[in-house]
Amino acid sequence: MLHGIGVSRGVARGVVYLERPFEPTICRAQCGPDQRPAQAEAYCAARAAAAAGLEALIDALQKRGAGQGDIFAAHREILMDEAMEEEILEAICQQGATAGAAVDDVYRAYAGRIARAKDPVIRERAKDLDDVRLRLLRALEGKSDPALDTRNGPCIAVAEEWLPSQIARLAAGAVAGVASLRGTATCHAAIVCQAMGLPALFGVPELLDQARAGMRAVLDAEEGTLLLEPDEAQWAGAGEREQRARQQAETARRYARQPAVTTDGCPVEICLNTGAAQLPPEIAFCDGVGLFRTEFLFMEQKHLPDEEEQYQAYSAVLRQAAGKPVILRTLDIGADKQLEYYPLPKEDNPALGMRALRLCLDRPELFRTQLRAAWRASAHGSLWMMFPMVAGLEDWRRAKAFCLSMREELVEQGCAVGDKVPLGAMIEIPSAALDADRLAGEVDFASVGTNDLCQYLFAADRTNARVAQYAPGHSPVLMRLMGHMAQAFAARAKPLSVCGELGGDARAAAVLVGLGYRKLSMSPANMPFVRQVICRAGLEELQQLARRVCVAADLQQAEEEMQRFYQAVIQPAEKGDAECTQE
Amino acid sequence: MYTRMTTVCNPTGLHARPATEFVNRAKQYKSRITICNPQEEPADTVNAKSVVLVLSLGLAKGSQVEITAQGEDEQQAVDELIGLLESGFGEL
Repeated sequence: MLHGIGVSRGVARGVVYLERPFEPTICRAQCGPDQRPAQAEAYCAARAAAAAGLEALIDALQKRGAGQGDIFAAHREILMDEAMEEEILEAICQQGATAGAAVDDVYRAYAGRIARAKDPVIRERAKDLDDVRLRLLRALEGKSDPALDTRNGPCIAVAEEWLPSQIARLAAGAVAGVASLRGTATCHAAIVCQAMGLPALFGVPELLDQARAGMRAVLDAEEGTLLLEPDEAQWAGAGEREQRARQQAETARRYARQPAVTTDGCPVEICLNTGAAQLPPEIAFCDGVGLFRTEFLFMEQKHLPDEEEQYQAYSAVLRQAAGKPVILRTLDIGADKQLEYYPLPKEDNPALGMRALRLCLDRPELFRTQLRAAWRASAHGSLWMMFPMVAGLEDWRRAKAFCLSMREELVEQGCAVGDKVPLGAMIEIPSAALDADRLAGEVDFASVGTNDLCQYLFAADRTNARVAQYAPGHSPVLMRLMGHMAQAFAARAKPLSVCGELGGDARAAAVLVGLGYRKLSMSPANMPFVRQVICRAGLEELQQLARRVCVAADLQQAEEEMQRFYQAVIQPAEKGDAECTQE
Repeated sequence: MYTRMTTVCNPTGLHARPATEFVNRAKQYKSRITICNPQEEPADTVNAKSVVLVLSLGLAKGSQVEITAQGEDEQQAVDELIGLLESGFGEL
């Protein structure tokens, strides 16, 4: 049994298909004038073949109603780009490059140019150019896209790492699930899997040593496991779970655009967690961005992003949010998030060390650049600023004072800044959670980061899979603490949300609403499930559930309460759901 | 040769769909057409019929653009492309 991170829910059975990376062979010889027309022709033929391949993929995806065809529509635009074509033909016909070398050089040069753009949304497109370059080079070698071997039924596709376009390509064929050695829950490929409802397990350490093409496999993204060569009983059992997970997902999907309102009319805001410059389409149906992680700007680069670059990125997100609030979390690096180009002193216990807000207060130049960029961007939408790793009032006051001094500096310089920018704390340290009354008196809002709160509350390293069982998110101890904070913030009428994994876990979300939370932030894939459970329950029942969970004798009893409630609420799906089908 | 300037006025700038729409319109003319942002130092002048190059300019709302065409339909090309930019691509 192999373990990984379930990045897109569901259970899948299938036969292992191994995707090997394509390594082009490029001839860099100089062609004489007589060979050049043949090279130019080869390029044109390869381009036509690549275009036909893209059309076929767009068609297949459309037929399956899987969406994601726009990835390939963008690739087609790149493939047909006039300026690149001109340069490629010039390299072949004037300079005597082979078709392969000309394609490789021109595509790399253009990708480099795009990668230098200020706007991170545009920089993302450099990956598309790489993708199309490989497609063209493959066509030049007379090869088509690698095909799934589906003679023995649907496949579990396995690779070292997946590109979004590869996932979309797989989905055009008979793929049941996807696994990879590398990748995270927030990478682009994971988001594509979620959007397509394709079960996926990423970050499986021994995957490539153990998985062989043609082996049977059971991928369980709910449990985070991949079972190779299951026995007959395991195979049959997985079939039932696959069926059940699929049905549940289909029913939940009907709630994808439904406002989350309890049966007795209590609304709950559903917000988006994101860490990318491009917001997913779900922003149109949710109540804002509840957690905008700014680390991506720092991690995907080779240097610290300057103020202008950050300003552009934050403004772009605010524009996409179109007036809905965006909670920007200031830089959270250190511990498990390191920057290659900005080495931090090694610490014995980095999760408890100089990270997040502590690091920012220690290195004011780093904090200053980000806060100036955020204040400037705040003129373009509804920006809320939140500091991670606030341990108590002292941290909060220092962060707030520094943040406000940046605002003053900009105003003196004549820069436009937003006039109402709420400042808040991310609560993820138990001392802050316990001091919620006093914090609520000083902050404008707060959001609970349950992943770190759980790690610190139970003293179990979240990056160490072997101690995961020691930090149970459904623990009644954690739930009581969550309830304490909800009461403290309600007493001061200050907004309090949850932006950790607990908020996107439909079973726990029911308890959180019962405890008084009215704003939950999560990744888009979890939204239908959370909306479903809220729409199908009454506030009174949710409050009773929360009380039962908080007084549960132990973890097991709390989990049984949550599971029983969840099953009962989603059970009589058919009749009640009919009214939700019109979107 | 014929040149005119304007300011990008649609909220999303010349990204994604508007960039494609702009480039597809540019391709309908026979003239050689270039686009640049004269405020940038150094100003990068690129082929307006290339979506990749137009994107690489990163033209946001409020950016200035200069469009130049040379060829038999140069004036019509520039005037209509400026008109398209000023129409806001249906986003206004």
